[in-house]
Formats: sequence, C-alpha cells, structure tokens
Amino acid sequence: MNSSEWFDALFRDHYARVVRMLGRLMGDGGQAEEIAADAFCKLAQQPGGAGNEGLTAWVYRVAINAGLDAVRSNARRKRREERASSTNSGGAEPEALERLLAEERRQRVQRVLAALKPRDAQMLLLRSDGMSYRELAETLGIQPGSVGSMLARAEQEFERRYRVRYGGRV
Amino acid sequence: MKNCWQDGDLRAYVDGELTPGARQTIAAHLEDCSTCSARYRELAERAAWVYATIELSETRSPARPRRWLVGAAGLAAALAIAFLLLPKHAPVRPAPAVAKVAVPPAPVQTATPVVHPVVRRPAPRPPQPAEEFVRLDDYPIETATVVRVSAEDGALQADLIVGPDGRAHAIRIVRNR
Repeated sequence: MNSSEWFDALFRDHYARVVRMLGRLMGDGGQAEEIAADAFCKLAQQPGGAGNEGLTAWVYRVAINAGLDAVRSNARRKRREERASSTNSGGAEPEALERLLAEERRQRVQRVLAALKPRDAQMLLLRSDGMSYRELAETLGIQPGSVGSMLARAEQEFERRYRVRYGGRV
Repeated sequence: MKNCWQDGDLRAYVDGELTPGARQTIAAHLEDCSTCSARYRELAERAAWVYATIELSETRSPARPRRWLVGAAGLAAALAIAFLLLPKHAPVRPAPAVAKVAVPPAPVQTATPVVHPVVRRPAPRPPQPAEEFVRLDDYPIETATVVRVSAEDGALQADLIVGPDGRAHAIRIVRNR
C-alpha cells in the first residue's frame, strides 16, 4: 500500500462515521464536518501511515477530543450570549416550546457527555450509531473482549452523572 | 452462586455480541441464578435508557434508522418469548425487563377525539382494554414489532409499533397513573 492508499482506505471506511459521531455530539452537522475534516487533515500528515493499525483509533480520538472541546467552548459562548440578551424572550409561535424542550434535551446530553472521559463519550456515541463490538474494539484500539465491560461502565457513568445533574426524572 | 458472570459478559449478552456457545451457557445460568438475572436486567434497562436519552436529544436527521431501538425491540421480544417459555415450576420472577425509554411526546394528531354516537349502553362493560393506537406518521406499516415502553418507574406505559427501520409509527397508552 503506498502513501496515499492507506489514507484513502481509512477515509472511505471511517470519515462518514466520524462525522455522524460528531453530529450526534454537537447537534450541528456543519461544525461536525469541519472538525472531522480537520482530524483527517492531521491524519494525512502522520508519518509512516501505511500498515499502522493504530491510526484508526488515533483519528477517532483526535476527532472526539476536538468535538468535546468545541462543545465546551460553544457552551461558554452561549452563556455569554444569554447574559447579553436576557431580555429577548423568544418567539410566541406554537412550536417555540417544543423547540426549546428539544434544545434543552440536547444540551443535557451534551453536558453529560462532555463531563465523561473522552473514551466513554466516544463509546456511547459510536454504540448509539449501531457500531458492533468488533468495530468498537478497532476504533478504540482495545481488545474485543473488553468492549462489554467498558460499555457497561460508560453507561453507568452516563446515568450517574445525568441523574446527579437532572434528577431521577428523564 | 458459582460460575457467575462478569458485567462485561452480561452486557455483551444484552447486545447479542457473544458466540452461540457462550450465549447458551449464559442463558442457562440466568435461568438458575437470581443474582445474575437481576444484574442482567439492570444492565439491559440502563442501556436502553442511555441510548434512548442520547437518541431523543437529537434534533436532526430523523430519517436515519435508530438501531438501538431495533435492538431494544429485539430485546423486548426475546424477553417476552423467554418468559413464555419458562417452565411452569420455575420460580416466579419479577416481570421481564421492558425497554425503559422515555416516551416521546405524541404529536398533535391526538387532538381530534373520536366522538361515538352511542348515548346509552345496555350494561356495564368489562374493564376497557388499552387505548387504540394513534398513528405518529402516515407511512404504510407492512411489518413491525410492538414494543412496550415505560417511563416514570412504570407509572406511564405505552406500546409502540416500531417498523423495521427502528422508527415508531404508532403509539398507545396502556397505563398512565
């Protein structure tokens, strides 16, 4: 495999999935694509890419870390904007409440995911995208036999943090 | 009990991610071990809740298949079948775990109540069965699975008709107290 073939193969097999993972995290397809493209640009600059099995895990890790950083800085910016325009009470159309509730649900999940270890957040996002245990092991660079226990721990941690922040009612 | 299973194995069993041999061994063990079967139910319910919560938080791309829901539907069906197949002398266990997901708010289609022309009933009727299904969209349903979901610790229960793409096409409330 020459120097560009390994990259093409990795891009073909994983780019769309990385975009979906970030889209689930961020709720913003445009920003998800930007971050994914950036991660793959960094991947292309990696020396000795051919034959390096760990690069799949590497690009997912770079992408999730950048996504989590963006979520945190988006949240900080949003708080500043809300303070600046606290008198704007939003629209009165009937869908406004539903949109607000949907946005609140999305932000709760985002905040909880951002508080987890990046690898736990990554596992939950990829599993919710339907990734098999074998694929999860490959993208996380772990043994397939460890996926069940890591998933169980990540789910427990997600639930614990969610309930601490938002109580028992979902 | 000896030969109890680790969380990781039970979690993989929830997702059907084990070899057929290991699956059979665990299934047989769960029949006999109340500790492991309780732990299994806990893991299954938590997983269903976590992915329902993540899924419900999404506001985009509604057309994509929701694979966790397909998995939850399969899990619910498997649990129901397993419960039916339990031998008669088996110890009574709590109700099989149902996929515990938050029920999405029904669209406004329910706003047109059906008015029945009947004014008198000849005799008191037996307890009413669950409500009729309310369609959530207009897609024709050819094959689908009915999934019982509950929220608020079982106070609210509903049946969902879930299509092969994992989307819910209809809902009926079976308990709301």
